Amino acid sequence: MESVFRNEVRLLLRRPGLYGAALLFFALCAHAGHTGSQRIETARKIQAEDQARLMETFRARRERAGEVARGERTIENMRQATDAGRVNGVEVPMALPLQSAAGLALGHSLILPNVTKASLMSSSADLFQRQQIDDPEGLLLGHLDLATIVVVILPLLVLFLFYDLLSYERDRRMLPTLVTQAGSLAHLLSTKLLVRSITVVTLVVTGVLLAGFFFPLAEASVALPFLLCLAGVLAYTAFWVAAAVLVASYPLRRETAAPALLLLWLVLIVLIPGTSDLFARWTTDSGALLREVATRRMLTSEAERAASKTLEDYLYDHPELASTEAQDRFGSAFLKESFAVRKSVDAALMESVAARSAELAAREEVLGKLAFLSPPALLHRHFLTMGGTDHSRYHAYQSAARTYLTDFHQTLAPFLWAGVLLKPEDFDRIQPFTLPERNSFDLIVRSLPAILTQLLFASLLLFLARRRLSSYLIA
Amino acid sequence: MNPPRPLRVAVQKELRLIVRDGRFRIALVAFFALFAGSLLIGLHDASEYAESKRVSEEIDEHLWMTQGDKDPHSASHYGQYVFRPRSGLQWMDRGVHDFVGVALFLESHEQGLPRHRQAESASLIPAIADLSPSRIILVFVPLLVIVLGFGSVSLERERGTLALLLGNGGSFKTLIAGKALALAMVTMAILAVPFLLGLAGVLFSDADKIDSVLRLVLLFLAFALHTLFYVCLSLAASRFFRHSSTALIALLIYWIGATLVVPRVVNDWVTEDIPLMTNVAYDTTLANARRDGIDGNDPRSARQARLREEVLSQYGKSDISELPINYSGVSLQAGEDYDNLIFDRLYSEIYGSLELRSQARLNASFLGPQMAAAALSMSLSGSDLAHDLLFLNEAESHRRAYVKALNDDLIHGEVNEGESRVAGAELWQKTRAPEYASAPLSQTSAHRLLPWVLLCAWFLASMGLLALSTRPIDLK
Repeated sequence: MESVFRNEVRLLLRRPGLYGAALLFFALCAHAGHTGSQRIETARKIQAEDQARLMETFRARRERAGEVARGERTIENMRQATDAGRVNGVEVPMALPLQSAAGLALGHSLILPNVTKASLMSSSADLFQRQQIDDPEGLLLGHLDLATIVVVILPLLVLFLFYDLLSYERDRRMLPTLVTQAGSLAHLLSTKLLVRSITVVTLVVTGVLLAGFFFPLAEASVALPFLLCLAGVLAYTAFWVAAAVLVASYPLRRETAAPALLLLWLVLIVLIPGTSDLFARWTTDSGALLREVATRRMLTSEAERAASKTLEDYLYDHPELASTEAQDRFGSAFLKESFAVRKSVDAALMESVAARSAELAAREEVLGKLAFLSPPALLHRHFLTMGGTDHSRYHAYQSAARTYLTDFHQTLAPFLWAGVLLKPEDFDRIQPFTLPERNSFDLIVRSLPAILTQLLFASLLLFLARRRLSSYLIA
Repeated sequence: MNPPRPLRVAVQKELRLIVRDGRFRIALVAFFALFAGSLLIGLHDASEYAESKRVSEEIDEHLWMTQGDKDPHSASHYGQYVFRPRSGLQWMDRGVHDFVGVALFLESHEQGLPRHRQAESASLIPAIADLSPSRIILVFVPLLVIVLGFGSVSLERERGTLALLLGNGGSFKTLIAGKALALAMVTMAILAVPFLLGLAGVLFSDADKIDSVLRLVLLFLAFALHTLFYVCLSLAASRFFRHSSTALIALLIYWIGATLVVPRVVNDWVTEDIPLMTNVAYDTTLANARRDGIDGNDPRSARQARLREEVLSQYGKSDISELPINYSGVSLQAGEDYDNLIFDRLYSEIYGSLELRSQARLNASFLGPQMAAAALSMSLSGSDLAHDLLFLNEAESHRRAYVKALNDDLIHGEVNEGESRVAGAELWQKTRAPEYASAPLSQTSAHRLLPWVLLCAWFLASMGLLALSTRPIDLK
């Protein structure tokens, strides 16, 4: 038994290409860690600049509002009023916090706008349609993040180490001798499995830790997602090892075993996610966005044309505001009309925006279920969830931002109708936007389906392999 | 002229073997099923988009034309929407389409970028999962070639049939040529099916037929060169690696590297090395340049005073109220002209960075033909950055022209004493937005020169490698 172990270790260490493959894997992991952490740092810096600019304006306007309230400053025109407490000058950033672990898997939060602002003139339906300077070709190509390396490259490393688990000896007619040495085929296989599994787990853990080295792992907000990602990676490795064992349980030659495993790789990594993507495209109306723009345009045009009527309707719906109109000092009919127009367009549009959003969420749920057909797709989603760059977190951000905007409008609209300037204490009553974050327990619960499913698949494959191996032809 | 008999025999034998190969039949069925699904979805997507674009354009034009009589400057803020065009072949390769907005709002004082991106509706990270028809051809046909070609020589050698084949009187050169020709014929026949389907699609569509057919022919020429590169590479690997499994692993590592790893690594480097202006930098630069002047030494107040002096001296008057024209229109147009100078600088920097990045990614074609073939696919399908920038530039030219026309009307239009200028349907008719169509092939040809050169160079290099592999072989 010991000699079989030693022999296996010797064979493995002499394997041509092992050191090259390991080095390449480490290099790719280090590259992913370095570029992923850099990208997140850059994105956070840009986001912070964006927020800081809005907050700076907010504070400056609060300051000037104080000067006006104390009589140290006079207002001569509307522009000065906007800069010193007029209600339309209050703007608050609403940002989706980018987590440090986001560099592990680049997803929705980095592609779509992650900062927007709440102001009196912000439209709920239009909240995430900011002009954004982007590199479309770069977004199309994607980046080599750790999630991609693990999902795509790790299985190849496993296949490289396991594709000839029994076929190497079988092709050379050495199997009967080795089985005699080991005592039984089960012993031989478990020894071989042990040696190769230790090797692959060492390589994988080293690679993932190399990538993790570039992230602030001492922070709890990074450490837990990183550990859960590592757990997912180990479960994923177990799945591929089990797949290789199942293939090895068939008496195949090496040149057949390798393509068989590669076919499995192709089906699980490219074909199933690709077909899911085709399904997503089939169920997505590619003209919906265009029609939404045209509808918004039409509604806005109609509401603007009848602006005074729209305002009247709004006041009819909100009689408590009508009585304050006489107090108007700094507001203008234009502002009130614009606000009423936006609210009426929003009310008309939000139904279709919410319907589209619900449709996307439903489709996402179906895709999430389809991912259970492919462990790679499941692991990719697991990484996105742990990095906080998944679709559902972005969806939650959009909902929270819209709710915040509604509250924001409710807080500020009375100042518009009263036509009075805000005082510093009114500014202070505006709470900053915050997104309720997932706690540790939530993260662990979210990670369980992906990890357990991979382990379940692995167990199933090993069970099938064991059944086949009982009738394996040694000769 | 018929090929020499030994070659013909070798080709016929190889063709027979390939057609009888169970792997080939399964792969073929899978390929056509996937291609047909992708094609159907691509066409469905394209027709849905085209219909929505037509309806949206009609609505916007109707709203512009019926906006009623108003101050021309108000009309310039009422604005116009233009919608991103798609070429007749975008069902083949969506390219950057999902990552650029579909609608661009054109109004005075602002040069913008399109908003409403399809990526908002995307589910998966497309580079992993995208199965557009072009991607299927660029990714899966080479894989099919590898599966058919990796054992061409090495398996014959391992099984001992190579010595038998050569013992029948044929030369090794003829054998390799026969295998290469057979594999090339099979793969070209496979490519012919999507080409004919595409041709039928183009002929039955509303797209410009000559342009689309020409694009399709060039597209399939690029696909053919890319596929033939893999034919030569697979045969050479099969000849140079002693074991078929080593040849297969080497070819697959190359394929995975070329299709999945290298483009992303290159993209990582390019993104890091060539910075792109941020939204904050854009807003700050624009605001500062407007306030203090482009060079920082020409404040707005000085520019306005200078304009006032110039106009008064041009008309020989001492006060604005004495001018025979509307001075506010002159001032607005001067503001537009100055803004345009700022926008030209800002956007030449943004577009310049994007083009530099695009070029840098293409330079990675020295690692393999994949990037060049993918760039040609996007370009010929009309979905690359060059087509996008052409649309943006055309739309911006229209914005500047129509805003100027509105300001000119404000300057010279008739007004009753004490009233402001009011324009109507006649002016709206003159300034309506044109319908944008995708740029014709000739307009973007310069962008395709380098990818063609690189792709041809890789094809020739692979032919050279194939020629090298015809050298005598050790039969053991």
